[in-house]
Amino acid sequence: MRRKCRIWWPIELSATEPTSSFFLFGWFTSSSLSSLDIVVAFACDEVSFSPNQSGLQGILHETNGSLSASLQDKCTFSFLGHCALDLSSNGQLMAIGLDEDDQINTIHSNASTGSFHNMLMEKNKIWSCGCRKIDGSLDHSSMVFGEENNWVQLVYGSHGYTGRKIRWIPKLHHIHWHGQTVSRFDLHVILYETPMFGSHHFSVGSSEQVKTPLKKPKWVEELHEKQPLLDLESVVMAVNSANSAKLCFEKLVGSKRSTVWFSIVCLCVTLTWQLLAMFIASLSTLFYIVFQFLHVLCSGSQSWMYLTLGKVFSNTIKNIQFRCSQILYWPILLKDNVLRSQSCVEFAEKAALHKHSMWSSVATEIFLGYTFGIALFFHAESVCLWASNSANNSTNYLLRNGCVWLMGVPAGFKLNTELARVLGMLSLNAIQIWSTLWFFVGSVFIYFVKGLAILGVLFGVTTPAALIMDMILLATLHVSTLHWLISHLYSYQIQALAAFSRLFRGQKWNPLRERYDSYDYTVEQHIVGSLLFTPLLLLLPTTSVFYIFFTILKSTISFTCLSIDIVISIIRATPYIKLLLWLVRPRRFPCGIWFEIISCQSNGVEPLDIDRLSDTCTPSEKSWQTTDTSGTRPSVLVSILQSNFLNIGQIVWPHYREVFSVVSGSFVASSAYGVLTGRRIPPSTLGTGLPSMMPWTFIPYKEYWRICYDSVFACKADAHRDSFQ
Amino acid sequence: MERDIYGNFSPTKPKWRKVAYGGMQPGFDDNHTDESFLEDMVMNANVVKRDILKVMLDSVSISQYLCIVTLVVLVWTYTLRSTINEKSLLLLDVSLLGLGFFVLLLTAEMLSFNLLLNCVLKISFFITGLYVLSPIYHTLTRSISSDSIWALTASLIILHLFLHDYSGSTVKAPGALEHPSFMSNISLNASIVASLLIASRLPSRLHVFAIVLFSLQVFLFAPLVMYCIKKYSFRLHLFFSMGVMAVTLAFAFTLHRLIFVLLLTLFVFINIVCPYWLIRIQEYKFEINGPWDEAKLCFDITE
Repeated sequence: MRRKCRIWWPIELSATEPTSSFFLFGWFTSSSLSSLDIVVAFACDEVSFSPNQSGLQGILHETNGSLSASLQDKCTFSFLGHCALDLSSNGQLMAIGLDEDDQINTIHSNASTGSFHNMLMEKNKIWSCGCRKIDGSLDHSSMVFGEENNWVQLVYGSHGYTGRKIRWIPKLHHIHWHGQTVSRFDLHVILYETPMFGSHHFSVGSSEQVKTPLKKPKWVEELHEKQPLLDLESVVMAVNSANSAKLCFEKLVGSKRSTVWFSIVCLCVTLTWQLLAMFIASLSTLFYIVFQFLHVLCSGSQSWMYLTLGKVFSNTIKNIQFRCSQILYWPILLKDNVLRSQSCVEFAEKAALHKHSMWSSVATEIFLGYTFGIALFFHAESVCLWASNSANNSTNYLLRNGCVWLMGVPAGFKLNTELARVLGMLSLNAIQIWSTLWFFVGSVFIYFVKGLAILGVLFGVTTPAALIMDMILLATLHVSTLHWLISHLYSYQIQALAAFSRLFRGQKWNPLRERYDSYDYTVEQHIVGSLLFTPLLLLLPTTSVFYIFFTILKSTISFTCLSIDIVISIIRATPYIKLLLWLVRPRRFPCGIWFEIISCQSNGVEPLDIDRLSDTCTPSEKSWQTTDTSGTRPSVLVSILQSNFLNIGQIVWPHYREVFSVVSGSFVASSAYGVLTGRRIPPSTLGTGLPSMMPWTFIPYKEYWRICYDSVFACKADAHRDSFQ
Repeated sequence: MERDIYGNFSPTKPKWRKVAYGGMQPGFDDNHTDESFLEDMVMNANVVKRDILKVMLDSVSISQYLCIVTLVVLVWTYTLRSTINEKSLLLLDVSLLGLGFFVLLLTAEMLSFNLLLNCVLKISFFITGLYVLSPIYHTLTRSISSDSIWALTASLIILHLFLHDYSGSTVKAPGALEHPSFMSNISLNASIVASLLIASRLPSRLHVFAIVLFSLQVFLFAPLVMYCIKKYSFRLHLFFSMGVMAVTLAFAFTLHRLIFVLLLTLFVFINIVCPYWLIRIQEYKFEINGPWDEAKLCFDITE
C-alpha cells in the first residue's frame, strides 16, 4: 500500500517567489503507519538563519514549551527539513540530490560554515545519497532531531497551477521517516492561511452542526466505522498554533523586527486609554462601594419586615444580586489572562470571548437601561395615566362585570344560585377592598414610575423589568388569593368525587403502594358516601365556572410575568460580544473545514496537462519518477484549506438553550394537568432565569479600583497586539 | 403407566387410551378419539324439576318489593302535590322506624342489647347528619327544570328495580358475613340519588328532611325486614305481601286509573305469566357435565 503524505503549507510562503532555499519548521504527526502529516508552520531563510547546533536544540525545545499542553502531548515542534531552490542560469530547477558534490557545494556557497552546517552536510549526505549511505550519520542527526530521525526535502515547483495568490507550490522530493528514505508518496498539499488572533482560525467543529439534508448513503456509514487515517484535531491545532510558534521562534532566534511605535500618536492613545481606564474604574468602584454598603445593611437585619419585603420583591432582589456580582467580578474576569492557552489561536479566541463576555453584557444592559430610563423619565406622566386607566378598566369591566356575570347564568350553565351568590359576593368584596387600598397608593404612583426610570439608568434594563414583574404580582394579589381559594375548593371537590366513585366501585387508593386496593366497605359508609356524592356532583358546575374564570385571569397574569422573565433571561443570555464580532468578522467563528481542490493528478490516470508538467520537470525528477514508481506515478493533490462559518442561529442558540430547557413537553403537560385538577397554579417564573451566581466577597476598595484600572488598561495591550498582528 | 404401555404391546394393535399428557400414541392420529371418549358425560345433572305453584309463590317477593317501591313513589307524588304535610310525613317516619324495629326484634334469633344500642346510635347519627344536610339538598336543583328531574328519577328507579338483589337484602342483619355485591350497591345508590332529586323539589327544609328519611328507611330497611319475615314464617310473608299488593292497588286506583291497570298487568305478568313461561322453557334445558369441567369446591372456603 502506498503511503500518504499531507503537507500543510502556509499560503503566505507561496505568495512570493522565494529568493533562496530555506529551512522548514513545524510538526510531524502520524496517526497510522501509512499516513503522515507534515504541518509546516513557517520557513526561515538560509541566509538569516545561522545558529549553532545546541542553540537550535534549545530554541526548538523552548518554542515547543511555549505551545499549548494538549498540542505538546500529541506532537512536538521540530525542525522539519529543507526546501531547496536553485535557480540556474537557464531558469530551470536543478536536481537536488542527484549529484552529491554539487549539493554540498550549493550549501557551502549559500551558507556560512559552522558546526550546524557540518551537521547539515552530514544530513544532506543522507538524503542526497539516494538512500545509499545510511550509516553512522544517523546517530549524529538524531542528536539534533530527537529520537525520530525525520527529514523532509521539498523542492520548488508548481504542480501545474499558479494563481494570483499562489505563485508556487512545493513538491516533495523525499522524506526520511524513522530511518528510511521514502519518496513514493501520495502527496496532498494543503495550503492554509496562517491563523491570526483576531482575524481567523480553523476549527474541526462537531458533526451535528454541519447539516446533511440528504440521506447518507451506505458507504458514509462504512467510512465512519473505519479508523480515521487522519488525526484532524491535532493537525488543526498545530495549524492554529503556527503563528505563535513563529513569533516565539523569531523572538528566540533574535531576528527582531523593528517594532518601535514611539510617536506622539502612540502617546496620545496611551493617555486616552489611561483616562478611560481611570474613569471606568472610578465609576465601577463607586457602584461597588454602594453595593457593599447595601449588602452590609441588608444582611444585618433579619426582621419580619425585611423577610416579607424579600419575599414580595424576590425577583428584583435576585436581579440586583446578580448585577452586584457582575459588577464585582467583571474586572477579575477581564484581567484573567492565561498565557499558555494563547498560543493556539482557537483557544485564544475562546478565552477572549469568555473574557469579554461579562463586561459586554453589563455594558449593553446599562445602555439599554439608559435608553429605557430616559424615555420613561420624560414620559412618566402619560405612562402613569395609561397604567392607572388600564388598571381601572380591568378592575371594573373585567373583574367586577365578570363576577356579576358568573352570579347569573353564565354561558347557559345551570348554576346553583346560592353557591354562586356566595362565591360572587366574596370575590366582589375582595376586589373592592383591594382596589380601595390601591386608590391610596395611586397618588404616589408617579414617583414610582420615576424611580423605575432612575433604576433603569443606574442598574440596566433588567432590574426595572424584574421590579415591574414583582409589582404586577403584588398589584394582582387579590386575584391570586381568590384563585388560590377557589382552586382549593375545586381541587378538594374533584378529589372527593374521585374518591367516592372509587368507593362505589369497591376500590380505594393506597398511597403507600401507589395502586388501587380492593375495599370492602360497610353499608353505612356507602350511604354516607352516596348522600355526599350527589350534592358534590351537582355543585361541581358552579365551582368549576368560578375556577375557570379565575384561572384564566391568573394564567394571563402569570403569562405576562413569564414573558417578562423570558425577555430578561434572553437579555442576560445573549452573547453580545460574539454577535458584534460576528457582524464585523464572521471568519472568527469557523465551524468545520473543507478543501478546495485546485489541482489533482491521480496515479491511475495521466494528468491532463502532462505536456506542461513534463516541460517543467527536470530530467532528474523524471528519472526519479520513473525509477521509483515503477510505472505508476504518485498522485498529487493540491487544495486550499477553507472553513465553514457559523450562522447567527448557531452562535446564539447554545446560550438560549439553557433558558428554554425548562419549557419542555412534560412541563407543559404537567402544568395543564395541574391546572385541570386545580392543584397547581401556573408558574410565574421560569426558575432558571439566572446563570450561576458567583459568591459575594469583599475586596478592599482601593484594590478593586486597581484591578479595574489594570484590566481596562490591559485591553489596550490586547488592542495593540491585534493591530500589530 | 409405563408398564401398562409395554404390557399392552402385543402383536394386535394397541388400544387407544385417553391420556392428558401422553403425547402421540403409536398407530393413531394426534386427534384420534374413539367411542370411549364420551363415556363419562353426564346430561342435565343439576337440573331441578320445578313446580309451577312453587315458582309462583317465590315470585311473590318480587312483586312485593315492586309494591313497596310503588308506595314510596306514591308518597313522593302526594308530598309534591302537598296532599301530605310534613308533620304526617314525620309521623310516618317514626312509625315506620318503630315498626321495623319491632319486626326485627320479633323475628331475629340472636339480638344482644349492645348490638341494638349500636344500631340506635348509628341511626341517630344518621338522622342528625341528614337534618344538617337538608338545607343543601333543598336548593340543590333549583335551577334545573322539573321535567328533567322527573325523567332522571324515573330512569334511576327503573335502574334500581332492575339491579336490586331480590334474594337477600343489601343491608344485612348485624353480624352477617357476606358483603353486598357491586350490582346491589349500584341499585342502592340509584335509589338514594333518586330520592335526593325528588326531595330537592320540595318547598321546605322539613319536607326535605322527612322525605329523604322516609325513602332511605324504606330503601335500606324494607328488604331486611321482608327477609326476616320470610325467614320467620313463609305464610306470614305471603299474607303480608298480599296485603301490601292490595293497598298499593287501592292507592293507585285513587291516583289514576291507568296506573292501576298498568300495575295490575305487571303483577299478573310477574306472578303468573313469568312462572308459566319458566316452566315451559324448562324442557329445552340441556346441560352436559363431564371430566373436562374444572373442579368445583363443595364447601365454603370461608369456614
